Amino acid sequence: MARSPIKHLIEKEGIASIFFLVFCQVLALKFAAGIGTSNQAPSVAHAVAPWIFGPFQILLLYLPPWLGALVFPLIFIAGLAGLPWIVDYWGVKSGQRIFMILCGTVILLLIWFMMKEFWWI
Amino acid sequence: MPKQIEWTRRAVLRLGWFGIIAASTLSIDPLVKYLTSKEDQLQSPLVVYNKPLDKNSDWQSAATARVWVKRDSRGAMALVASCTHLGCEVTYHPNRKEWLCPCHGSVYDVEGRPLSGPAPKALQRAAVEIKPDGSLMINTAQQVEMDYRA
Amino acid sequence: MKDQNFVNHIRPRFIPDGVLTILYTFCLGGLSFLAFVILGVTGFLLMFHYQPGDSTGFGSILTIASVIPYGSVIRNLHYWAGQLMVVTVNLHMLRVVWTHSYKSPKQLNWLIGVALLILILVLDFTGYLLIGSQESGAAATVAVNILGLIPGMGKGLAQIMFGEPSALSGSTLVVYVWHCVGLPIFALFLQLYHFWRIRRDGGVRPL
Repeated sequence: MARSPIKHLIEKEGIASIFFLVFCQVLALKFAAGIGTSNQAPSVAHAVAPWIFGPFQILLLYLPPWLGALVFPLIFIAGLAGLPWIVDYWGVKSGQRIFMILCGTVILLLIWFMMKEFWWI
Repeated sequence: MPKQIEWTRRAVLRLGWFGIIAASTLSIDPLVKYLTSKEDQLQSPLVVYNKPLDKNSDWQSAATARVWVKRDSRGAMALVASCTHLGCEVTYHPNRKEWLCPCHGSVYDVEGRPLSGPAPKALQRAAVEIKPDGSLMINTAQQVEMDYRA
Repeated sequence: MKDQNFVNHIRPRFIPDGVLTILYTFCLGGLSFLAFVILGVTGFLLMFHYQPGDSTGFGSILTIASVIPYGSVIRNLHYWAGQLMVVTVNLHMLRVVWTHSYKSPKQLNWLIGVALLILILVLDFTGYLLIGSQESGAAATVAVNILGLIPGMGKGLAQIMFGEPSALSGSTLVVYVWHCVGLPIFALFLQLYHFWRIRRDGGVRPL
């Protein structure tokens, strides 16, 4: 295979970094980060979790806390961490399928959360 | 000739490893004790409510703590406004006569019994003492029954 | 080139032409690290004006966001870099699964990656708590109660991780120390090891 100096790769990475920096800066100038409700103010009637933890809030709505917030995430982490070994034992196809099921569940919960909160607000 | 310990490189390293493991094991307990100490954030379980409280009033919030008080014909009572699901602060909505939890949507009736949502049991009641000057002293550490009155 | 020793360790001087295409990795891992660096710099700057604590946390955030010159830009940058990092880290994981890069002999690096993912999520969560708003207090209370469910060590663990947050403010000194010192240092070391392992496992790709 032909070889080229790493400089060419670094150039591309540099371009990607500049894009990312500009994107970040634009977001920062355009959209202010949320501040929430002051703790001196009267209690809010409805507290929405940050979107990253939306799946947790959905799980806690419908499952007992030990299941939704302890067992479920532990299963997820174990499945994620064990992926190379799952693939070794059951083959690439089923391994990737298990990974897809785990990720799909989280994304589904996230969409559920976003729909719910979107209607709620 | 007495048997002598030979200080080979391997022996020294092994001793070093043993020392490190022993020292780490011994420091677990002090570390946990140090990190879990609450001595610098002592919280008194006593809450004072010194605003006038009418007979047959609705729930009134003691602004300094998560405690609400109310008085009916039988006496005064206090309620700790922590959701029994996961501890968020519940708020009384006088127009609905219900307690609402902002986090996971639990709803309690006016007496604090769970109506809907994931909350497993009723809101906790605390012991109240009426002082001679009419102010209320609430002891949140002392849990009482729902029909308790001071 | 003396100051580039570490970089030379993790990258070769010549690479096969095939890996030059950005479509291999979309630079997601490298961009995550870039986001981490931005977070480090802006976070360091925020520390000059932020005061952790039940009663001071939210107020100092308000001051940073509205009064201090350029405070809002620095805070927004910190916030958005954090949000983007969670996104790029997750996409990076999807890419690694997509290209089958987790398989033996790279399992160890996959495990480090999973640990980093969890660390980043915890960092995001503690950052949210430091806002000190009512919502952050609710989040902190929920987290403390959930950790408390772990039999035996749960209560102590919650105390070590979050201190004693009130239900109306998640900003405690304990969370502050973890968010600004403990977790970032740990994450940085894991990341450096992560990068070094890539080279050791024989990979050269756009970062």
